[in-house]
Amino acid sequence: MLSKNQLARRNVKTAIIREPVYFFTMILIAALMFAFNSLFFSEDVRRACETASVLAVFLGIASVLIVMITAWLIQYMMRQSLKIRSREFGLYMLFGMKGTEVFQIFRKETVFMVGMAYIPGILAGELLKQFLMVIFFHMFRTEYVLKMDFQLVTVCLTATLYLFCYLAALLKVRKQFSKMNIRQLNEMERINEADEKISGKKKQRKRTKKWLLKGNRLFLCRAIESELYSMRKIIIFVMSLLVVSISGSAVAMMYTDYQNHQIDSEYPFDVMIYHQAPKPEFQREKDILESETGIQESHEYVIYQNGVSMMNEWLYTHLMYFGDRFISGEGAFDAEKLDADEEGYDVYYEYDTYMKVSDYNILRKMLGQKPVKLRADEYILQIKRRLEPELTNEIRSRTLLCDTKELHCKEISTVDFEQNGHNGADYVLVIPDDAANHMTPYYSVFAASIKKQAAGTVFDKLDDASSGNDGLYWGSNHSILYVSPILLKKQVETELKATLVPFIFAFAYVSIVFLCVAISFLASHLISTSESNRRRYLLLEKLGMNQTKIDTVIHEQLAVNYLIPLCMALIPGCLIANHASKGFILATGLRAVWVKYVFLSFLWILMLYMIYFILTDIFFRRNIHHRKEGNI
Amino acid sequence: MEAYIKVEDVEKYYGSSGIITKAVDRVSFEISKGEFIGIMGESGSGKTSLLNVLATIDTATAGHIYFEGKDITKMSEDVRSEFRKENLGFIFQNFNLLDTMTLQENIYMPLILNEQKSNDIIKRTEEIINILGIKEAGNKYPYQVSGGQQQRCSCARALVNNPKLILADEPTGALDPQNSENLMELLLEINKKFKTTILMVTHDSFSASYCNRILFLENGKISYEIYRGARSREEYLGAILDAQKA
Repeated sequence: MLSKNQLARRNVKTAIIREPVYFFTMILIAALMFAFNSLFFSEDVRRACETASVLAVFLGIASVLIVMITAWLIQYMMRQSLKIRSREFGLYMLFGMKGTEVFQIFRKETVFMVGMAYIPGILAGELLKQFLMVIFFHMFRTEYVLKMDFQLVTVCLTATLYLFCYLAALLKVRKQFSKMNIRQLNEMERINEADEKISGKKKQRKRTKKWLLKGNRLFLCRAIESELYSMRKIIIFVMSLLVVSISGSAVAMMYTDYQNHQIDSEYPFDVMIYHQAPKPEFQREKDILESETGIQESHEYVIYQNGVSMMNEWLYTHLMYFGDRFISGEGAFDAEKLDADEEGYDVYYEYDTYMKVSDYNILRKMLGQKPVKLRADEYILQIKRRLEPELTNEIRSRTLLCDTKELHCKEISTVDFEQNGHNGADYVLVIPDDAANHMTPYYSVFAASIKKQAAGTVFDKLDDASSGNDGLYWGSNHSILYVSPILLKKQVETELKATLVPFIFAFAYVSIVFLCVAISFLASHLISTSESNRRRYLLLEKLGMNQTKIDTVIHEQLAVNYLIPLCMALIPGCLIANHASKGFILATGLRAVWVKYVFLSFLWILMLYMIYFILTDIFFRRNIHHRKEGNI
Repeated sequence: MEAYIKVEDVEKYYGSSGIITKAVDRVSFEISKGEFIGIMGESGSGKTSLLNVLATIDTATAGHIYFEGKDITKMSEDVRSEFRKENLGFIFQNFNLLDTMTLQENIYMPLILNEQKSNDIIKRTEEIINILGIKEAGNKYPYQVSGGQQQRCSCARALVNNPKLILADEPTGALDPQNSENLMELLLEINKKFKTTILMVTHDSFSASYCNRILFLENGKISYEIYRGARSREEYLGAILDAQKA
């Protein structure tokens, strides 16, 4: 005789065959949980990222969201299973089992299911972890040696979260079980059948369009129309999950792009040191660098001013960043408002900043750029790339008055030049050396390229050695900007990445899990409709449609069902990404094209979509063709 | 004269590895063109299995079926699909209408599958809808009309392609007596007016009394065969009932 355990085991086997997509998703979620949780506890991550605790916090927040959505998915699948198996449970009760005993079997099945999904899940998770580690270390430009490393604490944490999802779902379903009697269980199945029957409920149709009377169009169009009607709530729900996934992925990609490219462009020099004294005195800093890292090239120079702040005033009154904050009622610059500013918008030096063309060319050479030539009556406006589109013709063709000479703008240069306070704040006006000689030295800067990149202790030594570096202004910049009189590129990179990577990983984690839940939910629903679709396809077969054509119709029907929520999600996804990119540009200064990130998100989502589509297609067709023999 | 359809020693087994069910056991008979033939028998006697093999929906385990001299048991699956499309019309017990389409669209389906031109599809459907008296219900969905109208639609769909053979599987099984009678009158009219050959599987004696000839199936074998001949329908019905008792 079959024991309850054996019965539960057999039922799990059947459930896996009946709902393979659900089982596959549970393995995938276990794998994702394990892989991301591993980052919490990884010693390698801790070593690479001093602020690993931030990563833990971000992943922790993401995990809460993920546990909630996973628990919901499991609970939904359990309720579906209860509906599908209502007759079976009714029979158990008819044979004398109590509701609680039936629930016990269901609970045992769940425990077996958890075990069966969890073990392959953590194995897959370990592989996924290696992949994440490679990405993580690549972000920090450090090499990672692949190594299998099962940490008990990670295994336990994942198991706890995983079990919690199932237990929460079980608790919810238990209420339903305890209220059930045989009559209700039988009715449940009838309700299922009725659900299917009303799936095409519409008003009387007017004339059928002629173009539909060709090929599969009529059948396909009507089947999809009917499904759109019966699945409208599901489509909206899946769409919402996909919107979260697309937005999360777009944001993660924006910041990945930022930390991959923007650090190099925002901080092109290995070392930059600001000193408020107008005469360069950087011997101590040079000695430290010489002994700690070795110096490849270095240059000490002065930034000049001539008591004019016209450029600054123009920027204060024209950049989007400032809005109308410093504009007077007459539309001119209002110095009083600037003096009264307490929000941190006082970001430019008191006077416009100038640089000798000879210094400019030495710095350009250090960056691998060609030197420029200036005639005695010419100047160059060297400005951040981000600000260039905001410049009007007025400022582009402005004439500078230096001593008694007029200088005309030769060009506007937007090469990456470190203009967060060192080479001016946002901009520097490059003028002939003679013209600069008539100006007042403002502050001094030391730029160097070093032989060995370093951070941490070298930075601390430089910091200790430097004095008199007050009065740095950084320009119209952003919340993520790293501002310091001493800029050591490796240090900047490490600190910015330590801030960004947790953010990126958390968004990516949410995006991928929401995507898995959305597609799994859709796939499970579509596979469950294969029964009602089977009747339609069998009829087509009887009417003379061959197998190949039936398969084609199935492919097309499923493809449309899959694409509708994704396409619908693209519209709000684009809107959110567009909005996020505006905030992102403001926060980072990177010129982000949101379409690019949505498109890339769409592409990778499409990849996972394809896997689920193929699985759904296989199992859907299997269900359609499976019981044909027996039924005909 | 060669038979229109010739069934020769057809066998159909189900199951494998030891447990085999013989659904159809060496059945042979012939059908003439324009004949209205019925197959009767108890549940499990093999009626539907035989119908399915004749309809090329299922394959015969052994034997041959010749349709206009061609052996349909030798056809590949794709050829069988083409054969069904061009030659057969189906009427089912539960009507088997596509619930996502209107009655009119359901009737379009065989014509669409036969790749007819749009104008011809519309014209032919209107003709058949008028003949079967379901014009008013044409734009309604199956669940919006009565069972009788659904079955008429099913008949219209079976007829719309001018099939050579109509296969009806318990066509009155889901209808009330009045609608059953109406349907059988309709099938008789189709048989007479269009000279369409009809093969009907039924366990209802009343419906069977509309046939020219009835084959009785028992344990997969033909146990009895009766012809209507010159008898009235009432006499014929009596004979069928007697045959069932025997």
